[in-house]
Amino acid sequence: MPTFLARRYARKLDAVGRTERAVGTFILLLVVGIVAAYAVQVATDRDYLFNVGAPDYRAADARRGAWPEPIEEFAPEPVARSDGSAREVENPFPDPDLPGWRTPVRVERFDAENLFAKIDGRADLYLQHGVAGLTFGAYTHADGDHTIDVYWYDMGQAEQAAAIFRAEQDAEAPRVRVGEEAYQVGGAVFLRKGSSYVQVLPSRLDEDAGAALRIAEQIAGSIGE
Amino acid sequence: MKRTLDQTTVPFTRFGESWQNVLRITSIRILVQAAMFALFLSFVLLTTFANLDRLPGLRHWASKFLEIDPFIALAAAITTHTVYKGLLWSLVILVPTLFLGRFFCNWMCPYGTLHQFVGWLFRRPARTPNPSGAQEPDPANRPAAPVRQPWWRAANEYRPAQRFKYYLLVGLLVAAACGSLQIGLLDPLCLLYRSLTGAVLPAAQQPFSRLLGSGRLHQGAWLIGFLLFVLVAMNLVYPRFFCRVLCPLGALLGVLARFAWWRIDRDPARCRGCDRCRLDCEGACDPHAELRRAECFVCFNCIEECPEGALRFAFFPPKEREVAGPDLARRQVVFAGLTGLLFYPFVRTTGRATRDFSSRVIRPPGAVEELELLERCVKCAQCVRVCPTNVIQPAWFEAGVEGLWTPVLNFRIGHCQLHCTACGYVCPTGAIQRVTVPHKLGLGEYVDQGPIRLGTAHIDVGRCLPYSAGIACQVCEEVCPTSPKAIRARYRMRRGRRGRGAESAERDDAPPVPTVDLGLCIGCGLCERECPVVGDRRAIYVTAEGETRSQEYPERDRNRAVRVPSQR
Amino acid sequence: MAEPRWTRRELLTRGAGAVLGGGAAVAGGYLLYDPKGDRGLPRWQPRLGLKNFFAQIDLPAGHPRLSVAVGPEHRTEELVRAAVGGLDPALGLRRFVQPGDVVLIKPNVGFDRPPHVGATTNPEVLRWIIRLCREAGAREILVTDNPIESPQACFSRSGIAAAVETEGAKVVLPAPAQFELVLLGQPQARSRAPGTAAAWPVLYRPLDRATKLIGVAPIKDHNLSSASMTLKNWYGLLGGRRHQLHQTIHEAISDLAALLSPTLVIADGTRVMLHNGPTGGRVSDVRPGGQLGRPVLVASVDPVACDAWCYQRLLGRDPAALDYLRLAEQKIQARVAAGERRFGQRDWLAYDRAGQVVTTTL
Repeated sequence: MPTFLARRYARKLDAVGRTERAVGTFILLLVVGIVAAYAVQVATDRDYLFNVGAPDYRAADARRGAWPEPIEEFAPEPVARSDGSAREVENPFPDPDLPGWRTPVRVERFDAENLFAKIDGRADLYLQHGVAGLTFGAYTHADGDHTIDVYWYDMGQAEQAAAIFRAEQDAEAPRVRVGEEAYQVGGAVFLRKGSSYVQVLPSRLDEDAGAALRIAEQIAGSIGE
Repeated sequence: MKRTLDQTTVPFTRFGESWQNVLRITSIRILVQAAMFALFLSFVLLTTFANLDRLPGLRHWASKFLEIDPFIALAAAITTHTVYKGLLWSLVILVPTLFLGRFFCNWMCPYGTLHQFVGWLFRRPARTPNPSGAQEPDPANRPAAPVRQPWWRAANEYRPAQRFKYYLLVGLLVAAACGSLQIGLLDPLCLLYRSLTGAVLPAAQQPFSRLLGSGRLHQGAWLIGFLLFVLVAMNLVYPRFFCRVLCPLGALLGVLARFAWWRIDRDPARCRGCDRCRLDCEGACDPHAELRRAECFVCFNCIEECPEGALRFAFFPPKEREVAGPDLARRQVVFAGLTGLLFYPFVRTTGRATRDFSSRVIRPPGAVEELELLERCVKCAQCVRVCPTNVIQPAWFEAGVEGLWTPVLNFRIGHCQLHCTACGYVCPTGAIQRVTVPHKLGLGEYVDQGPIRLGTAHIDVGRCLPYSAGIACQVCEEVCPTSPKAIRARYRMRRGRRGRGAESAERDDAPPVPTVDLGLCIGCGLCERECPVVGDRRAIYVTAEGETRSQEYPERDRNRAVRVPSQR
Repeated sequence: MAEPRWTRRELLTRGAGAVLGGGAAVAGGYLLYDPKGDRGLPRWQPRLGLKNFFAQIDLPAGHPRLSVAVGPEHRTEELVRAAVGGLDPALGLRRFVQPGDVVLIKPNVGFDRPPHVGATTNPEVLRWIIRLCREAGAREILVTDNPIESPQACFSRSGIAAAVETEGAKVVLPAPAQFELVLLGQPQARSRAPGTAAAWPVLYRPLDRATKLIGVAPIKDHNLSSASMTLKNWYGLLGGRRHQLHQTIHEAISDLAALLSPTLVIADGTRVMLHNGPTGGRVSDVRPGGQLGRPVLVASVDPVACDAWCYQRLLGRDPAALDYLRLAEQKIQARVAAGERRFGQRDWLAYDRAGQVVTTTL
């Protein structure tokens, strides 16, 4: 501390009284104390201020809604969990037993509330008819290029399935013998059986019409057991 | 070596004995000033998100200088009728000022220290042959007057310009009483903090940007830095210009100093009129004549320079040797008050705070509603400093004239980090309330309340790539941090007909397009920040509509979008 | 006699000064001359590739390529040791990391999330991997990632910073000085899909310093690329506005897969995010081991096969449908054909048939 201690002072050193010295020392100690308190408090309080624990997240999860998302998805091979609470899961789509066609690997389920995520504005019509759920799966071909989409609606009751069937029906389409009532138009098969209303939609309308029909038969066969 | 000045010889202290000088009151003062400045600088440098997160003890100290500022406490008390949390610490300065005078200005204020230091370093003594208004000392005691006045006589004499800060104080307090807090523009601590944050520190970091990371950007940094520079540079021609002429905090403390029990007192019997006491007088308070209490910074330099020992820090000295209060003209005070009074309706009539608000003004999470914010924000820019993503910026005039340098979010520069409420922890006046992370995100006990929304994201379908160009891009959906996501990319359905009467819908082959759920979006701005369609207007951008802070005030007609319930 | 107007000294000093000054000006002009106009402009010179971190590994022919460890909860150390040990029962990690190595571990620290939402690598898993590296004699262990959110917050909130500190390794936070332009994909590719760039800033310095590279990636659903696993993990080494590459994300991921040949990859299936990826945020989206229901860890020398396995077994989806796997396989096999020593094939069942998939159940 050179300059301000060794500079020229007009006031002589012995003019510095005892009170002045005492007050000066006191102030210096006070400042040292403040700095020390600062250093100690900052150095010792070590924690993560902005971390949020898992319990807070879980509370929110229980409450928050889901953006439209299939409510269940499962793999074709069910896996029993080690804690014994194995869920009985089954792939509802039967094997069509056709060369090159595979059952859907990924199956999506929707309920009435998130139905529109899959079928957009058409959900209104189904909701009016009391739809309870939709199971969707896509049969894929080994070629990779074409698929057959199956929309399997659970309408809750047989009357409601009949009602929606009639609402969407194309009167001039040729009937086919599948389920209780069915017709095929442009390769796609629309059938109803029991409380189910099923649409089988091939991506290649003409080529895969036969495959679609076969799949529709299989599905109808698996209903009503 | 001896120096001759006005027939006084002043000896050098011998080096071996110089350590004894440390107990002179001025030496103590210099040490305390240095320590306070270092402390202030340490608070500024350490107040970063990373430090606040890991060293939570820092939150008690980060705003300490602003909390002890009595002007902020007083003005905020006038506007909000409360003393917010840490502002109670201002009593630590307020009460001793009532007893000791304006010691804060030269013992603690870091801005004052900066001015004093710059002046000491750079000011060349000017020779003024005929200073105007120089006061002649008592002729009875004086030897023959020298032909030329020494430079310091003019530099440190009291000038009428020093009255201006009181008018400023009155104007600002009257404006505060009306409901607009503008003290932050010139309050020394707010000014220094804002200038360091906005201009000085980023400027210092730029040469090292390759090493330390790209420096932060701050809107309007040029003006903030320029203001600081000009005010500090004034010290080269007018010592302590800001402190003597402009500082409203100093004015407030000066007004309070009239009740002090101690002050510098000159004994006329011992005084020989050499005017040496004015050599380093920081406050220009006339210690050689009647001391002006309201201007004296209690720097003790006059005591140090008096060869006769005629000055002392006296307890209840006689009243005839002092000027107790600031030397003001009543009419000018009234005029200043009128200015403050008119300021409020003029700016409110502009409407930026009410109906003609700008939706691009997005405030930090935890901010109070706009009119309350304008009553509280002191434009200290601590929130700007601590924000980890550099998204908080000092506003220009988008929030109105009153909103200059208040915090707004600019999502082109950053986004609001999800698990961060640092801005609320450092705000000294409660313009941004202290909220915890669960409160901000609507977790834990705040689940029913929901998250704090800053605004809502909207998609500009003319610019969004999937909508307008058929190019797949789901970046906004990917980065959306809420769960469930507020942005979902959905395939559009192509309606077709398979035969008459039977509708079918197939998935359109075009790439999925993003849609925003207005009920889930919290306005964090990550989507806007990351949108690849960069430019002045991104393809997805956040506006203040739907912000939670406006929801409680339906009569104010601000930012209340039609609330779309979450799509569950 | 008239007085001389100037002295000799003046003549010398002034003359020399003028001549030298003129000479310097002319020389300066000549050296800095830019006739075309573009001399001073910055040049775009990317690095052509990165080093192959697998090249020196001496892996005998029949050795396992994929090692799966399945275990109960809360036994992370054993899980890690089992997974890595499965690749070489005798040497474990020592086959891959030798004394004196500088190991760079690349976890996923991309988001400001706590570890229990599964958006980032499990810090416990990272810890034990660092410990194993240290036991194998690594001289220096670096951990890095370039998140889009604030790096300090991400490293801190995800627990990675604490884990690294505990084990005495070093976190390398991304700074601009550490990025360099690197060529992605083949420079001659003309039929490049719009949006992919030929060169991109990559976090080069740590990669250059390291002698071994280990990727530790969580298994997550991803809204755009369908899944984020060990190959997508390399995205975190990109800088700049990398979201522009999302417009052709499968190309971008496969380019990265071809560019980076790691020593080892570890797929962290202790908390698999099944929905709402990649940012997550709901504990209900996360399940240990995904479809398997129990924590799983996979260690592999073939990142493509590892991804295919995880996609099928943990996320329950069909790897044949995942575009970037197919493209990555193509690009890596092209490099293998050109003589590079590395593995990259989708068909993990082929490994299984050859007995090179080891499963350890705790």
